[in-house]
Amino acid sequence: MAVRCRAGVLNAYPRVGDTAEDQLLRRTLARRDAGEATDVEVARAEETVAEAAVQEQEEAGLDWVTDGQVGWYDPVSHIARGLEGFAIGGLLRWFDTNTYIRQPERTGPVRHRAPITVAAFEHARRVARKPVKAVLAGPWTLAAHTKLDGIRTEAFAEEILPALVAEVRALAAAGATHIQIDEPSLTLEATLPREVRDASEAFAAAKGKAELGLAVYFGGVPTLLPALLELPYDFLSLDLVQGAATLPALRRSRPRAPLHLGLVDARNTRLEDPSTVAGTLREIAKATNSSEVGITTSNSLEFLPRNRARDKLRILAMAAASVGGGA
Amino acid sequence: MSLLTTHVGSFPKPPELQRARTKFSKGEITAEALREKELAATREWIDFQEEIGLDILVDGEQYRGDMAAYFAENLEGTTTSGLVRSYGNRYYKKPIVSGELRRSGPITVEWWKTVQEWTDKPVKGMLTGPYTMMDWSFDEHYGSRRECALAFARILRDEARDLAAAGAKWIQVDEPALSARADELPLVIESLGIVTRGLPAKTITHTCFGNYEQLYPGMLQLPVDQIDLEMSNSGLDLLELFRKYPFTKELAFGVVDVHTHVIESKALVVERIQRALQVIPPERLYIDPDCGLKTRTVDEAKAKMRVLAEAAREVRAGLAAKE
Repeated sequence: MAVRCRAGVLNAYPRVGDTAEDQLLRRTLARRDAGEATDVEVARAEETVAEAAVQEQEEAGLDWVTDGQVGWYDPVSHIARGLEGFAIGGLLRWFDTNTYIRQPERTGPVRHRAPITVAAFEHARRVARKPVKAVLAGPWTLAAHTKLDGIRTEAFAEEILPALVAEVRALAAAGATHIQIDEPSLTLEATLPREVRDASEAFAAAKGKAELGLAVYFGGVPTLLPALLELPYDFLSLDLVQGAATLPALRRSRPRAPLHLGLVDARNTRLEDPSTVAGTLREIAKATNSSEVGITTSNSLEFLPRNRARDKLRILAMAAASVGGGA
Repeated sequence: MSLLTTHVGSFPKPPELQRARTKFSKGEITAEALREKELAATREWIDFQEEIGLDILVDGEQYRGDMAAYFAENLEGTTTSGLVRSYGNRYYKKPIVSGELRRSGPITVEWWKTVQEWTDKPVKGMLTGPYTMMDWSFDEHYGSRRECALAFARILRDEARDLAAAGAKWIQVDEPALSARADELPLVIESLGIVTRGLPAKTITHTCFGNYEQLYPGMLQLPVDQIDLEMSNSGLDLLELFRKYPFTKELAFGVVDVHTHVIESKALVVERIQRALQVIPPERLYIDPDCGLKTRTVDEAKAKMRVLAEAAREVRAGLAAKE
């Protein structure tokens, strides 16, 4: 059976590198902290760095790109900052990494004031030749990382859902063709929360013509997988490095929508052999009877230095081409 | 004496030293010229700690870049990665373990000896712990988190013994990564134990910014005399846990947040210390900042340390008056 394989990154891309040119955003932010640069200059630097991120993904031969999330303070508080009803608090470790997020704190009813991710998406789309995937933190992960004063995570995930649905609708209205909801906190759950099921249906109703995907990473989801495959998404992205425990259940599954297989390790500099990755892709595609698969990084590429992130892009593209790449 | 004051580890590098490090990285100055600047900055921080009356001093790590990369740079079997983001606009270089780890000689001992000669106060020997070294490295060689952590542990055991042999009475082995994976607490205990077992010194571990509800009270099994915790950034919420399950070791209690420009008032720090005293007796309570202060400006770091020292003195005076 011929397998069509597309490649792209999961979400973020390193925003600095080791050359002076690659330090633009870091230096501009430091200058703003010192009162020597304006917000407008920071926004311009973010756009320049996003353009470079898009260019590097395209040069590597990927089939979809992201804006690298270069303007995001972190995967959670970036969204919370844009919504009404949050304050931004102290540092909180992001899963099992040596990186930290600012913990959102609920201060009142949550409302969608204005689009949060649309401007960066539109800028990336203007400079990209390949489709741009927009990424959004999901309600379960956002709720799980928010300081809630006596409110249950489940109730808060429901409360914030309309605001996140409004963001999906705004992205779709802006012409996003690929929208990914990131729910890494699902890797900590033994069963699928009802609120995630409800959210998936609400997102699907708001996505317009966009392909809507769900991404889970920072671990495996062997017990959750059957339920995840039933959700109304157009693709499901799985971490198969840290989440290698998902593989046996995955091989037994018959996915309704394409899988995006996170087989390239975004948390270790060790470089994979593209032909070995391609072999695993083929084997999973055959086992799951899939005629179309995606290959992606296991996690955010911000965990790697820029030079190794570039190497990983090439591995993605080479593995996809070996299997049956191209749009 | 009770309610001793100390510091977690790093102080900010003054602009002159930062410029010197940049010049050194470009090959514009020699290692000797850089070391002169590092010594001068270190001396200033020792003088400052004595001036504010701190009880147990640190060298301030003016000669170290990142706490993990510094050790890796001085070991065989490692290289250093490019910049990786930590949070916000903070980046660091991570070790890459590319071969069998080996230590060709002591790494921190000469610095410790130099600094201890400058002061009559005890200076802590400062190491980055084996679990954290493993967790913060890219392992391209061992392929097993345990094997990599134990390899680091054997090296750090030798370094800790060399520090003790040189006369260090307080040795801190930082494990900020210990909260990263609650299921790996046994590995933290095992690897840290290799470093601290039989060491003729007061042993301390510092950790910060994690979800300690998952690790407590299990973390009381860490093989050290004292655990140094960030408390203020998390709103002192661990105190409730300590009421439920008594904290049985010495506690170094972070009373100032190192990730904000805001300088805490003395009244606020006094209140934090008094709240700590409700659950830990003064003879087992040490006062320090949440974490190293290297991310603050020199002025901010000094202001935070002054407030800390003044607040501790005030509380100490109150305790003495009650006796």
